[in-house]
Amino acid sequence: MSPDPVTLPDRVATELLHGEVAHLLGTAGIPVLHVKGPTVIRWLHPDGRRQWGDVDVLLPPDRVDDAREVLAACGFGELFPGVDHRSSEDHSVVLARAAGSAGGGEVDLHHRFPGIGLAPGPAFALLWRRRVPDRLAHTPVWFPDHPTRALLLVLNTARSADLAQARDDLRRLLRADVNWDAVAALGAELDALGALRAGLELEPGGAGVRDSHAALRDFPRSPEWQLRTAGAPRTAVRWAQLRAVPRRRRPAVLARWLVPDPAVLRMRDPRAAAGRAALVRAYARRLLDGVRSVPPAVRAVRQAGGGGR
Amino acid sequence: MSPRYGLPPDVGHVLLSGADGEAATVALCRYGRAERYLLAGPAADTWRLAAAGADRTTVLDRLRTRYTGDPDEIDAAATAALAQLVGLGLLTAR
Repeated sequence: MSPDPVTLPDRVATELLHGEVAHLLGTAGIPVLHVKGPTVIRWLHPDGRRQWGDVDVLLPPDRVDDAREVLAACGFGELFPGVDHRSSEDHSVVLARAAGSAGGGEVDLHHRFPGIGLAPGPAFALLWRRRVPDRLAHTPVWFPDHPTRALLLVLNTARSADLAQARDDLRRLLRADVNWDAVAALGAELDALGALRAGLELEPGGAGVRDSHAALRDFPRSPEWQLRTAGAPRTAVRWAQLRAVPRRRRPAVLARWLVPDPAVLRMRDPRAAAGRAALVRAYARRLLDGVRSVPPAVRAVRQAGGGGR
Repeated sequence: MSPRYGLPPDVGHVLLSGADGEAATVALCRYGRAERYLLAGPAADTWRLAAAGADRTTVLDRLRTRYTGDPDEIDAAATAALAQLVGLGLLTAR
């Protein structure tokens, strides 16, 4: 019973961290929806062998700062200093306690979920209304209901099509008892049908689901999500995203991609952390890499059908 | 009077073994602190009985039934363990 750090199996350590995040944020009055990991394992992996991974929670976007404050008071800091929902376009802020700490492990605070087109605030409100109770580390938590879990799983697989675990999750989902009418209806409400369709099309069984639901079958293919699921270069995906943005906003979006916040650049290129000159060199490398990636990106966009919506 | 124990709301736990009467192992976390604890065997049994709401007399009776040995030594060890667990915030006592 020594208070010295103990080494726990990953699954156990992660479940305790889930419970801790739920308790700390719940006590502070911040709605927390646990996504991915245990919500998939408890449903689709009865043998319990799948890795739990990080702690992924979805929050109302206007409570992310509150959540960071609460967790910071308990020792959680940004894994990449300065990279947050303002400086980065990522969908989550990654927090962790100091390396070697007994309460270690990464906590991903998601303020949006990739593939959902509806604005993050209303999207969270909709998902929160569909929450169901569960327990992690014997602590009350909120999970998405099954149609929401199915939708999020497919969207996550569409974004991570090259990950064996994500593909295995999708295959198990397609063998499970799923109310696909409800999933498609939720996908429509969340403006997520493009990503949902692309994710389903990764597996033969998913194509069957698409074909038996008019809302999915008739929904136009999303160039961005087609490129993502095809493993196209990042620049190609960016190109497709840019085409979907209103024209007047494109210069600002493009500028942010080309010249990201220094904190984001330091995360992507650790050599940039050595000083001001190193940061300038990193920006130059990024621009050069961007130029070099244009020809393969153009080829990928052409193969996917032009990149228009 | 024998104090009654309980589970604090800021303590999470995961049972690693012991669900079917086998030797128990339980991982504990006091939320908000970067501390984790792993209890096994008699310590885990003591914590589980107390966390479920037993009073000290019941905890000691159950441990004496379960473990062979000098009852006085079992009582002394369990009483010390309960005090330590309460001190660490892993149990409440009232």
